Amino acid sequence: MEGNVEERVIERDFGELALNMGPQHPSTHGVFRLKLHLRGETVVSVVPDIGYLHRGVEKLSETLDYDMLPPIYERDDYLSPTANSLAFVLAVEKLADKEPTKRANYLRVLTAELQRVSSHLVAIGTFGLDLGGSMGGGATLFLYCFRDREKVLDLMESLTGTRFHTNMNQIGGVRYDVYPNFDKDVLKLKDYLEKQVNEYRTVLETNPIFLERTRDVGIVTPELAKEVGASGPVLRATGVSYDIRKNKPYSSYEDFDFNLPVGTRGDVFDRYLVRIMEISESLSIVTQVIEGLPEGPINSRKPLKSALLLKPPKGAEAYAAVESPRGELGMYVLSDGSSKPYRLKIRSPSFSNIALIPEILPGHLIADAVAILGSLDPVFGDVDR
Amino acid sequence: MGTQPIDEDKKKPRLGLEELGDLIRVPGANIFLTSTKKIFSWAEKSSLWPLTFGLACCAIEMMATFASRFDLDRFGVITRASPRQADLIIIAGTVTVKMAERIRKLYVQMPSPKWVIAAGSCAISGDHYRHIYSVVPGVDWVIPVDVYVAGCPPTPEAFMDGIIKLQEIISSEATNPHFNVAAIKSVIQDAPNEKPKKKQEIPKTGDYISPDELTSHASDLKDSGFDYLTYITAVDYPDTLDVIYEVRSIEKNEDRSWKVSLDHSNPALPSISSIFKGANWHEREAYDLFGVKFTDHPDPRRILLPEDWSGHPLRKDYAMDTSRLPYRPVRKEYEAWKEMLKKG
Repeated sequence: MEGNVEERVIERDFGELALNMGPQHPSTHGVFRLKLHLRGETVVSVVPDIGYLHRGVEKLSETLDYDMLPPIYERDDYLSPTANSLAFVLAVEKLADKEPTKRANYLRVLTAELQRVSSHLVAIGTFGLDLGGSMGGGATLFLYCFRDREKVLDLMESLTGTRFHTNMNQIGGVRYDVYPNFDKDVLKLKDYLEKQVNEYRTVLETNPIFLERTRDVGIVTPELAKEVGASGPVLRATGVSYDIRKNKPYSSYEDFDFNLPVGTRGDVFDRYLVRIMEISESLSIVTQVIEGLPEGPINSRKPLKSALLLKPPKGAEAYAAVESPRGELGMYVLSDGSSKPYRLKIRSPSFSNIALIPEILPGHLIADAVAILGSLDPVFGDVDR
Repeated sequence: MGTQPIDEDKKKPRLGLEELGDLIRVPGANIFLTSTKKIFSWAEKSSLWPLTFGLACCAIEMMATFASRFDLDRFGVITRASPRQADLIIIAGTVTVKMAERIRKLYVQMPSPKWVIAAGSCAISGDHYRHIYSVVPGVDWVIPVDVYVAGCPPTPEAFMDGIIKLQEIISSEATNPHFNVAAIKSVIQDAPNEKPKKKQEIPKTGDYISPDELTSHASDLKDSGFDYLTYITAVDYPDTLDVIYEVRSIEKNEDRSWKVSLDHSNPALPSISSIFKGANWHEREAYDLFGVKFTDHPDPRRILLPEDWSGHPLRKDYAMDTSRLPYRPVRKEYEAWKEMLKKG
């Protein structure tokens, strides 16, 4: 046929498409299910479904003695295990009026900060995996970060005997002391990691694809973050300068000098930036711990049978919170005068952080959903407990 | 080194084929005699494709095993994101009742031949969670397992050992169980054992307010700068069911906590999720685990447990041990099948 063929674009509304994401999905960072409603490629609404890793830790706590419990909590937030047990031992020390030694406090800070480094490396590495080719091939950043995380784990292994479930914290102190020449290993690691972190920042922050996919995506306002109870890098990326380590110092954090990276826009990029800057701050805290490590015993209690008989007074209750890599990790403990907690509540940061998802996801493209989820960095052992 | 002439090396067939059959050398050509089964199992063991699937802490060690230092690619192991392309599923982490049905679905979707590695104490036996109401004591209640890798979590070396063990199994038998996992009916005995309550008195502390003034109390605090919701939870006291609220003012760096006492027979409270958006999930959790009903809640469903669950596990009269196991033990069928194989 000759002549003018009229070109028309026919716009048709295909209605809403319900898409199920997870619980088996490489980008959900664990067993998480999202029921997405899409119009085209835009997310209209989202219903998150959690509980696929609900292990009943709070019920289990009511059946075990106080001294048996810290290793159980290390399995909750499995990217920063000592933060969990630290929150618990701080709460029980408040409850039973026990004071840890100064050296124990410093060693607790040491492991907590080393695990913050390794946790943020996993967060950034898997985030790179989610964003696909933003670093010249999806797996590159993941492989880089895991390569460097191994070096942190090596140090943890030589200190405690295990790679990341360290069982470091005990009520009244810590279990392991540093070995000779530990400071040299730490300084070597610090020099190495600072160089690597600078390299990541150069490669990522000059990459137009990375910037395009993270800037102004998934914006969280400070008001929303506060109302939902978001904490950690998610809260600080919105511009709210709040960190338990600074605002309610525990475990001798007041002795150390460190900066608090704070974002301005609350988008995915700011959350990434807060995390990667925190790595350098944590490394600086670790060196300060090594330089100022006080002499003395590492546990204020006798490590004998008397340890099993810890019985806080009846009706006493305590809430202690620590700044885990994901935010405020708190433990509420109520005693009934026996050697087991009557009630234990874990206030987990991931639970509150991913409650943001139904608020911020609608209006974004489906490809941004994984970027936003990765930037919230949830750990599902921590969400579901 | 150096004792063997180079020529001898060149004559040897590559790829370890000498283990698979006989190489007959005739002038002009070599003849290789073997069975198809041996060739197939050799191919299968050399390119195991596991599903990208992790459950808990063990999955982090599994990721580390795949990543830079340990590099499972050397064994021909490359992860696939879809069960339709995978022939190995590594169960790395705790299997819960809610997850069990999904794991079975994933296993059924994988094409045969397929293998299963149970990595870590939780996947093997449930570990310290084995008596918990929501946990399946070992993944072999749900799907048949070929290799168990011990550890909490297993180290990357243990993971690699598990892969090598599996390769040995594949080259020895290379067949899958002939019974149909999908056809095994689930047996749900949904009767949590009721536990008698201990008679004791626990003194209470803190600020108590009445349920009627809860909404006004919360909104007053929010207006005066306490706009950060820390948590909401409940405590099952012997005589009452108390709900604890904690809010925070970030500017003043202060916390406010208050409690509401409720009756066990009808624990109902107004929801504050219209004041604090974050209360939505915390209130759902209090309903799920304690049975506190929040009137005018926008989404009054369970949050952690499956929606058809009965009972509220953190109540003191709810026994920790559950009789709710999702499926008939697959393990028994698998063992019987292995016995049959041995007999021929």
